[in-house]
Amino acid sequence: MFNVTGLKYRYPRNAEDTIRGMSFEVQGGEIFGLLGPSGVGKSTTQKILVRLLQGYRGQVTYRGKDLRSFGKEFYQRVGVGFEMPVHFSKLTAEENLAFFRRLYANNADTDELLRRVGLYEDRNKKVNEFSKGMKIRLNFVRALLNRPTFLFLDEPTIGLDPGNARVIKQMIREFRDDGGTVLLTTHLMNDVDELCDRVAFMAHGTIVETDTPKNLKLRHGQRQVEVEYEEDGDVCMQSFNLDHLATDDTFFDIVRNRRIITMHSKETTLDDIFIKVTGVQT
Amino acid sequence: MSLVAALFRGELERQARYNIIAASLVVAIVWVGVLHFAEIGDVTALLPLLLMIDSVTMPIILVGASMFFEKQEGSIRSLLVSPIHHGEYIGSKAASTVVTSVLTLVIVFGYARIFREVHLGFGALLGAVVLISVFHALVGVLITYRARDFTGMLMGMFRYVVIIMVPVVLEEVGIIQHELLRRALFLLPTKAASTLLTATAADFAPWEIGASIAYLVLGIVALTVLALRDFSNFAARESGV
Repeated sequence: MFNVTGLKYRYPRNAEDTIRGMSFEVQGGEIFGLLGPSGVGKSTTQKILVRLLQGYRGQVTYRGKDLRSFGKEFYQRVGVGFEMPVHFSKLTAEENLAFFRRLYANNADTDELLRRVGLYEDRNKKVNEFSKGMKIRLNFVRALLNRPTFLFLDEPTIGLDPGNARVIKQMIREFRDDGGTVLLTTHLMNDVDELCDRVAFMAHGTIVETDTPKNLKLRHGQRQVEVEYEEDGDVCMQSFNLDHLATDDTFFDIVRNRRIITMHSKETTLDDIFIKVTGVQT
Repeated sequence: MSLVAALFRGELERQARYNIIAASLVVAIVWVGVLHFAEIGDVTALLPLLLMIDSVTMPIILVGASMFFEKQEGSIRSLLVSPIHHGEYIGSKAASTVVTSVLTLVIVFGYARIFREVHLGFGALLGAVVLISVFHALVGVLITYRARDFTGMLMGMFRYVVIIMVPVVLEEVGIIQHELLRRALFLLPTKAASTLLTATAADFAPWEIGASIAYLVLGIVALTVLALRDFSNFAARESGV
């Protein structure tokens, strides 16, 4: 769907490039996570891909065509879900959706979408009476109202309670399963783990790692088990290789003869990988 | 429904809901008050001046207010990723502003016709108000692009009014009489506006009216080009994706 090659971008007043030669591909029918610390260029990349920033170098193609060659028709089948509120606050949710529906050739059943996200009963309330979570759910409905085939989602579950976050994540998966493609930006690694088919980690204006979450965990994981135990009144700790655990006499000696305090396998989380590959200090 | 019609309808709905039309009506009532308390039987000389002040200042304020509401609420982001051309966005703003200016014209002219004496043609006034409003709606768009906040936009409008409009008002009320200064005023769009609004009653040569129309029409074309050229920077700044 999107093919990005050697993308570079410098803001007019900056001395250095914010994006420094990024290359990646978002394949049709996948949920692609674009991850990285704040200020690394994720938003700039998204702005370029949604055609809000011009003047970039490198090549960006969408469905095989140069992104620059698209006109306003680009937005007919693209949905953008913002993290921040994007609605007319003195209009009701329904009035907001009705206004935006009139701008598109294709319309989704917004009543059904409102029901799914739990806002149908509140559709005639003004948006300025909505809570933060309700506004985020309305943003999600807005992103879907033109029946897009490509969705840009920025932190779609931030500020939602676990129940509503689960509904939104389920709808994102259903969108993908129906053939849609998603570019997801989030800091919530749990969402990434649950949703993304592939992820790209950004650091210093470029992509430093791209793979499936599973492969990343395998590649960066430590196949170890860490045992905390008591010995002569002291607390001791030892790590053992999981691959040789069955033949490790020391491990069995500790398990049989010491009082175990804790025992943890050292699987790597996406949080750990994020910190490791992006160079974020904790 | 075409996109322009959809945007225009949305603008009018929001103008009503955000009390922008109500504010515009209040200003129209102020102008009616001025005519009422001026105790002048024939308002032919005063009416064009009031309409000039209204159709110069109100479009700048209304467009600025509308765009700042969109910036403040973030709805501009949603519009920027909709299938609308920049020209359609700017055009709908200008068109909805014209509606409020025409509403003011109808109220003020109606009062003048019913309760006072006035020797101005409504059709000519309507054409003049439309041209002046569109011109200044575009001025408002450009001022808003450059303003950081609503106060900044008001300051931009204040500077425009002091430098571009006040000298013409001073000439109209007879304070500026020096011939060189009076000729210099022909450089200002507000002088063209004033000429058109008084054209049906005053003794203007056809070329003066033609030049005033040409000034405003060419000005609208130039301002549209500038507004479209600078839209991308405005969009990138406000997008916040």
